[in-house]
Amino acid sequence: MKQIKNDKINETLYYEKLKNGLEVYLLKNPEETSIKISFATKYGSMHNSFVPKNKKNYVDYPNGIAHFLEHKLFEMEDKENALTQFQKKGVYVNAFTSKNITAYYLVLTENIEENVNDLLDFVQSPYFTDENVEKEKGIISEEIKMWDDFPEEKLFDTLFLNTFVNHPYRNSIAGRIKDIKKITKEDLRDNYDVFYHPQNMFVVVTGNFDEKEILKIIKDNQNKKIFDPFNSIILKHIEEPSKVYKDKEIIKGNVEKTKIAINYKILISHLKIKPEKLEFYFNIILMNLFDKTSEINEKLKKLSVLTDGIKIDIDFVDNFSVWTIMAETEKPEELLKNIVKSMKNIKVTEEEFERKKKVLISEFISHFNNSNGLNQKILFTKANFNIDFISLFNLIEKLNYQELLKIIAKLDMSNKTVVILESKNS
Amino acid sequence: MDYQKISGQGFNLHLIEKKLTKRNIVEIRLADKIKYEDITKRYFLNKYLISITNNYPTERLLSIKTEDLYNVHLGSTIERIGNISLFVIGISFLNEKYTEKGMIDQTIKFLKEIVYNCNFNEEQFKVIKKRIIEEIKDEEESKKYKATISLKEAMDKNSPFAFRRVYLKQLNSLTLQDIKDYYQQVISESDINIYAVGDFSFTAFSKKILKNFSFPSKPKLFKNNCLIHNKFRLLSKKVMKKDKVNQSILKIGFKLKDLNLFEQEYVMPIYNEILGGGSNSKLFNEVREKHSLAYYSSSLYSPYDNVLYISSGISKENYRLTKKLISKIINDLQQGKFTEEDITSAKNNMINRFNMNRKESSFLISRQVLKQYYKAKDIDEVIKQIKKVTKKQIIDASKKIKLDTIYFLYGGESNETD
Repeated sequence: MKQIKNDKINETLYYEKLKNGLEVYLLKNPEETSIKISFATKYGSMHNSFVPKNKKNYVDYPNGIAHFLEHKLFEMEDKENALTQFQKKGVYVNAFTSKNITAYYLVLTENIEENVNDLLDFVQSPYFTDENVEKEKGIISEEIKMWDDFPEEKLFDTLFLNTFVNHPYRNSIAGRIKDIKKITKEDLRDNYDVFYHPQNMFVVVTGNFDEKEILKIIKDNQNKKIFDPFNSIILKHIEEPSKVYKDKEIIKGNVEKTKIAINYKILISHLKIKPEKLEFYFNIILMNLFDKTSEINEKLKKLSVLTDGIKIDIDFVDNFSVWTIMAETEKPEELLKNIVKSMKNIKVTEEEFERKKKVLISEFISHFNNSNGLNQKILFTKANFNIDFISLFNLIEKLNYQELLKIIAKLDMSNKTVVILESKNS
Repeated sequence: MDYQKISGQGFNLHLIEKKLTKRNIVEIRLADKIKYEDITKRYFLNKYLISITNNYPTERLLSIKTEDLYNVHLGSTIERIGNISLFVIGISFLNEKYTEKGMIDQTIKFLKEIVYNCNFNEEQFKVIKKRIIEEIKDEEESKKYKATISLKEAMDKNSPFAFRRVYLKQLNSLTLQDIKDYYQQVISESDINIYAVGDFSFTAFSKKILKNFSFPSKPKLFKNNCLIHNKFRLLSKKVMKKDKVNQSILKIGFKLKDLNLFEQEYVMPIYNEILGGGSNSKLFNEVREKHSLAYYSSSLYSPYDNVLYISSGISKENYRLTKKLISKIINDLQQGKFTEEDITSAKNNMINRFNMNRKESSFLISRQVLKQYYKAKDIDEVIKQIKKVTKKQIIDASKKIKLDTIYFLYGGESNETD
């Protein structure tokens, strides 16, 4: 078991890669009263075009299949649904699917060995029948309809659809009802066989536990099972141009206030900086431009162009970084004009840079206060960048102003897409 | 020592130890009996107070200061528990060992600035007013929120459980002077408690708080803090409302009659868990799993309001079937058609949740608050009592649930653009 320590923040991450390829990350907090354990696969909604096992050609599976599979894995042969089993024992269980990861997790206070085994076992015991697949279509259809009633979801789905031309990142995670209706049990099996191999998976444990004990439980569980040899995952190669799919779209929805969302699609391959480091620099830029400390934010509030804050988000997709900017406004065109103007002339002073670095440090350290949130951070850092979370602290400390200025000088901000969500009555 | 209470000038200070935590919290809670006519100005003041001060006269400058202090999180909220309204201002900040020497002193000084040196002016008044109007519009967009508040108002508009966070009519007649006057009222007439949770020396930290904070108020005792209902419908009220929703929302409200303290604190929560507390509940299993009628179907019990709600997201055409199913589940529970396994599972879920959260700062504070105003017990005692609850007690309590109102928000318009 490896130890990745950071004495400044007084934290140690334990790591081991098992014989079957499964990676295990453990981070303890003796003051916690519970343990959170996540079992994740580097597979999400965007991984639906690939070469299935024992085949030669690519297959395009229906959108939403990863999420569908996540739901279906709770079903067990000759046993009660895993969700019900855990609930009966008073164990909190949940799962989620994102664009690049699916994770199943428990929060435990007792019976560690039994419950860890049950988690690993249910995820590794797929059971798909025509009947249970049909039943799930009804449930997921209702879930899709429920999300359709959240205007912001519709806004983001349209935004990403218009950002990418070919890349499957453009599709919504749950898919559309017409997509999921096509899913068969064979499709689920194909996806499962490729992406749910331990070589493509990892476990994250946070909270209060003994690292040797937990590792032993996981190892013993995996050693009892036989896995097929792992074949490299062959995803369909997608050629994604720099241009966006659609420059602008206005959609109508059940909203009282107009919302505007913008995605900047920024080429990053020429910057030759690791994306995990770039994410910090990009955060500094966007926070400085748009958060409550920014002059633009203050000016736009005075002009009643903004009443609330501007939300920002950063994604990395192949050779691109996508910067998402979202706000509510009565004057979308004016807000857009101001945002575009700021993006054409990005400036950060050294004082601002140092202050934002304090914010990054503070946010990073604060994650360790909450094993639930920390667990998720470790998961996403692994899924997005394939690195361990603790080593990010060294990166933050080494961020420097001169490097930021060089990056800003090389950014191409010419590709963007805008979606405006208006009230149906307007 | 993990807890200490100290008297300050016009307030009580509660120090709660949380070893190894990386962030400390200080929360100031000003409590009073809830009054309908004060709702909006209380909410307004609560938002205004953390927006600007005399030394930081713009929101931007205030935000810059929070970042300089290693990103302290400043927040405020109004919390209602039964008949009591809590005006809360809080700050969370990194432990000084991760920042720089003197940061704690600077942070406390900053909190003092917020509480005592507010900059009341017309321009900012208009800004906050506009912001709250936008929030009200936001709420209109949330169909789930709309359905919830409409159900409650249909049940009993005059009871605090049905009060909104803010009323547009009250907001429109509010003035800056009202807010200034109300500020004076709040700091002189509330029951004030300061809670500090963190990894620090009690002696040193309490000295800093006692030195910097004092209030003209005196500690107060409140009586009759739970809501008690006197009117119960013989026939349930039905409200059907059409709206632009893709998924219809069924909400059912119940009032609880004459629960004793043991039932209120320990029995009804278990009943609620069995009925609709999670994915092992009757509602989840019948409405969602067996009949695929809904993505969610759950229940919520408010002990200090003496009410219980059931919610389901369904398709319009399944209204009658869902209603019938729910009615059958309620009747079955009253007739004792649930197993010891159901009870054990419900107890385990509740105990597990308590154990998961018991060291969270917000949970530690809320436990102290409930102890003070509702004589709630320590968590270990609560767990002990939960384990004692019997099937007969659950059946007896289930008969005290009185159906009040059924609210159905339906639409059925498809938003899907394929």
